[in-house]
Amino acid sequence: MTDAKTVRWTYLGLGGLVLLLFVVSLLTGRVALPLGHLVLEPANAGTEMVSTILWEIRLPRALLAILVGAALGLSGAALQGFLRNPLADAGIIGVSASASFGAVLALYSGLAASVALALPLGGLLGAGLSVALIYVLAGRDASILTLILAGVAVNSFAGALTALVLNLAPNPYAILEIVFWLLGSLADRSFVHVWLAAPFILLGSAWLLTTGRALDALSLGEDAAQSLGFSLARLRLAVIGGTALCVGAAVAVSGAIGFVGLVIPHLLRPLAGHRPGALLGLSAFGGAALLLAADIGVRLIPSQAELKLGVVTALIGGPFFLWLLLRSRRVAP
Amino acid sequence: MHYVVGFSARNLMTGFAIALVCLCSVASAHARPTRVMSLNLCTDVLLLHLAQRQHIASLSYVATNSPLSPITEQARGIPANYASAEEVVSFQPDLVVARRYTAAATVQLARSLGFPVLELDDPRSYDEAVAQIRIMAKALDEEQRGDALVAQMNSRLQQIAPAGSRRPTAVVYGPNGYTFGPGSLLDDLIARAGFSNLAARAGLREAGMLSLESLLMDPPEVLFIERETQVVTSLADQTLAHPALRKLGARIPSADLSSRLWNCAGPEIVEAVVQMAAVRSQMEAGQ
Repeated sequence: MTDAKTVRWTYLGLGGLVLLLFVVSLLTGRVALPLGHLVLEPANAGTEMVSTILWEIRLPRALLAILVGAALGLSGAALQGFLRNPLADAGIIGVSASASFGAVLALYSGLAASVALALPLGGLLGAGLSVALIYVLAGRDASILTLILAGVAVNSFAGALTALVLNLAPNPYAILEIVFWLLGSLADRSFVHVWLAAPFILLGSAWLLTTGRALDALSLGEDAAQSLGFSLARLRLAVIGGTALCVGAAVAVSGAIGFVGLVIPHLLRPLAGHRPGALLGLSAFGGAALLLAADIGVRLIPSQAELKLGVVTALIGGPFFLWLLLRSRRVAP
Repeated sequence: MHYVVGFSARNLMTGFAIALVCLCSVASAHARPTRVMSLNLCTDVLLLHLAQRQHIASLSYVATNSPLSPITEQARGIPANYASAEEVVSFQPDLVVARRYTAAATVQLARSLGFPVLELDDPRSYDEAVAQIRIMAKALDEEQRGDALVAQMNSRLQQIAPAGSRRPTAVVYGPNGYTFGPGSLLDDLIARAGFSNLAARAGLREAGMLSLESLLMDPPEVLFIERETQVVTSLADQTLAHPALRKLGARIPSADLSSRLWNCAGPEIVEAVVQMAAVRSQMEAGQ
């Protein structure tokens, strides 16, 4: 009873936080926007540019922060529940890096220039392959060590392939853009990117959200879940497919942003009553809030070229990850 | 190539002095170099324009390989190098030309192995570019060709419509919001085309980023977009395809300006001035 109440209040709190950060994100940028002009003199030519900045630059950026953050938080919660492993996260097990590779292949080969959908589809394919690969390599209930080692292998392999493609790309800017694909950014994204990513992220999120009850049952063990009538094969398909859709599309437009899917489920788990099912939706909201905040942060830090998002999330997530490792060693030696 | 190495603040006069010193040693050793090797795109460009083709031993691989090269066609058929010392030894050039600070290790090694080297700086104005062409021509013992090339450039420049008393503001907006301000070659070319560079007003020096938001808030009268192709194959290309930038381009006079024309200080820079001035004339005629 109290659990359900806590969850409801958490949803309300996180929802409010997302809304607040969304508005702050619209108000943050390189230039101070005289928003009063929008109301007072809407016909003015200068006002037209103000509204262009607001609607064509900042709005898509804030929307993408919500979409990508939610995708990362949700997929992290789903992976952790499914693999029953607290260190499962798209970034750590190499799903984001593989999605990067897929997107890089689509963009720099020129495929995405003729077929725009090739960009998210490339990311999707990369992400899907790597989740499946991790599942084969480590499997459910693998030790933390096995999972991380498999992640290290997938991560560095995908990273190497990305670097290789960027090195071979004929575009003179390609090799410099490896930073974007490794650390992620939402700078100067447009509605083109929102339309490319949103359908896949929404579809993947919906798919992942259907796994709530099965994940709850799975936390009692595989046998218990099966005896309760949940099909493990279907659950597996939903988690792999949903993660591929979410992370693949998100990374294709924002690069690989680490640690969101790791940190958020952990912070919210107590509030979800330690039920993986209830954690899913909460993590989506939490991820959106964290990424909005990080994206506001990179714009407030006064640097010539804008800081990459992954730098901020890693500054939070790196120490958190180490603390988690230490704690998990103490709990299960 | 500006996106790899920005213009660092350095004393150009010293640079030229060093170049002249090198030149003296070169000139005294050989009459006319007949196996010249270039290690950088910008020296490739000058070499192709000034030397006789049979005297060019090798050009950098960038000359034929990069969308930023203005000489892909002319360079075809000339052996390529990747600016390594091994290649210098194997080509046995009687003159190595290179851009200062690129392939610095190779240049140093080549020099210590006894190969004559001419290093060139990045010119920061049309006048410096012309001076550099003369330096290169002298090192190649092709001063007549150098004079002819400079005369051709000057006369083409004189043909453009003179700037009015009021200079409209313009900016050359590149991938990732990269622009050039005072102290850069492009800034001088913009001024020669009759514009006042908006990047200077934005407080930019030499080169740097101008955010899309700042550009929209304080737009120039004319927008030049540094673009080689409409095909988007990188994130940098994506920044130029941003709908907000397109909106600005539809509101004010705008044109694409290929960086092939001014990335290197070859004779092509005149074409950049001509193209920019044409947009100004068109705008002034419309008023």
